[in-house]
Amino acid sequence: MTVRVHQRQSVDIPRAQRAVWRVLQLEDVPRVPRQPGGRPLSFSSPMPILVSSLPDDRLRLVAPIQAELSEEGPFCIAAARQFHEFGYGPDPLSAVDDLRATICELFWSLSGDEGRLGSDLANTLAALKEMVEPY
Amino acid sequence: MTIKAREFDLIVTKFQFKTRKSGDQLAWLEHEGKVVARTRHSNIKGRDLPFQDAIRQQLHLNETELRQAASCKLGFEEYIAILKRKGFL
Repeated sequence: MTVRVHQRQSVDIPRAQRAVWRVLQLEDVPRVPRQPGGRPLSFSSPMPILVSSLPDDRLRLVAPIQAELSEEGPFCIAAARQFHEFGYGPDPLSAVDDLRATICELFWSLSGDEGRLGSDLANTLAALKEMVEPY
Repeated sequence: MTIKAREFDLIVTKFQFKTRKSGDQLAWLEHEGKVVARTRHSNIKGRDLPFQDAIRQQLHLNETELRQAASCKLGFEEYIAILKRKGFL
């Protein structure tokens, strides 16, 4: 699979990461210049994306999760601010993958403690359950 | 401000968070039987942790409070008082 990220550029996407890229393509990834010798993508400001799949067969997304991609030092950050959660990695795909895994972990972790959550975490779980549900 | 993984470990230990390794380090605070805060961080030795604003929010601290916590000027009792004042307890 090859994804076009610029008029004259394209990148090969590993099979395991294609689901993430389908989401990014739906959001019409802006044409981002390639940095010479650097990462293939960079962001001058946070880029909104929608996460529409999770890497856990026991969970499904009822609605896509809004997130933002940004850069911070050597890291790319994918942040879901409504849950105060984020993923990170050396590139955008790793960051989104990390965020997806983090959301799954958050769901199971909070669900396991549902009866004894403080108000803030209970609100987070309620927001999460509007978007994620177990099969 | 920025904090490194070692400083983060110091903070969650001082604030009596429970921890679990799950790829990254997960940490959560239980107070009187309730889970009132949770956070996680990577195991990046020597580097500043990424996206510290989110970590700070997960700990329910402002920048000044986080700075004080990292420099050992904010102890467990003060942290609990902050959480009570902000309505998290």
